[in-house]
Amino acid sequence: MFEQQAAVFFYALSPVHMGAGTASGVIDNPIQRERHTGHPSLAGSGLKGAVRHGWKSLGGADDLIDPLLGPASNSGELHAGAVSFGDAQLVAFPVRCLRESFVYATSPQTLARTARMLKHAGHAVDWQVPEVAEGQALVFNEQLTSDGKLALEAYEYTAETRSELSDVGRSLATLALPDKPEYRFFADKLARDLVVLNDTDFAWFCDHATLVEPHVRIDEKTGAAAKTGLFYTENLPPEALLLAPLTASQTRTGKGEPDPAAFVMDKMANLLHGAVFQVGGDATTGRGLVLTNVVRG
Amino acid sequence: MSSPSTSRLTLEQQRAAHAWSKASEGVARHPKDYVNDAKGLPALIMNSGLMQVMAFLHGKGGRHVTLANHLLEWLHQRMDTPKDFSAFMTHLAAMEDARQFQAITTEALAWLKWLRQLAPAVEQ
Repeated sequence: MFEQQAAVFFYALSPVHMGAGTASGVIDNPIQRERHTGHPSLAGSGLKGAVRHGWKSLGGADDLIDPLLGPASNSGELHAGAVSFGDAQLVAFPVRCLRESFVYATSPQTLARTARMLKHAGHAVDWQVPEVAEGQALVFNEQLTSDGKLALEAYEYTAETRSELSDVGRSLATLALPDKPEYRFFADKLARDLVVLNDTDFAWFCDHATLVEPHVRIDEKTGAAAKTGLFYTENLPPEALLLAPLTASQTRTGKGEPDPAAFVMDKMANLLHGAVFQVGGDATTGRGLVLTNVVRG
Repeated sequence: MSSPSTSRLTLEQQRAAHAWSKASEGVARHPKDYVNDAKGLPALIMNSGLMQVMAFLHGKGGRHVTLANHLLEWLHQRMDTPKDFSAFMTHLAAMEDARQFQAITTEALAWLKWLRQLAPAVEQ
């Protein structure tokens, strides 16, 4: 029984490749996506594995790995861990903008899901999910627009300025980014340059504005690209923001007195709050650096 | 738009059939290059946009034009866009409806999904 709830923000500091295997689509190595929305996502199993892998570097105590995350598969022990990671859902997606470099795009559906998960974690959400028509964009920062239009990549949206959007952006920025000088610029930008698109328009960028890069194999003799070995990999772009549920039960090792759920959640929250660690594949090429912030009631 | 004679086929079958015939033609003309170009074209479109990529292919000339013409032919058949490069560019440049532009890009990627898989198979 999971008694403690929290939500964890994942902010991509570098491109993140949590892969979905080889595919026969337009990309050879696509990233994970939700089936029903098509939004990029990070699987809970992958997040839990990454936390386990990075446990020591995150400052976790050796004797807590098994009670909290479960025993290693080859240990011969059989008991469940006390922590559950859910899949991370998209909160905001960085989209190239003609002005101010990029915006943090989101949509009503995405914000509603974010509010729902935050509420589940016990956080009182004090902003409303706005409505927006297709072809329209809600902005707070007028500097993003020219003649009432917002240009994202090759597309123009009719911009409408909404002062209340700053409450949403500021709330997300405060919850998702640590109050440290190195993150202040991005916290301010998230609060200022959050843009709400219609769900249909937002889905376009989620599908077509990820980071796609070609890879080749270098021929050892020639030092040039080999004739074969060309493939294309997709990454979640840096500055993407996602949110995952985190729940905790008491420890279930069957040995001695169990540690209560509040103890388990405290340990996990302390470990992950403001932490930077690596998730997904291609770690040796700098992929997967994420910043995590934990939200509790 | 699709002709009545092919309407019994699913859209995916129509894309596959067209891509297969173009892949065979392209690989016969430019064996290795056509395969690699087809494989990379979707990423190029995702990163740069459909019109920019069409202009790039025509600027490069040669085998790139073969590939561009194959895509233009499919888009003409399915989305009613002009078959000719300059007319296609003019048509898209004048398009005021962003959603229609996106639909054409999506269709290009849907067809290329087949082409990039089928071209290496033709080579075998």
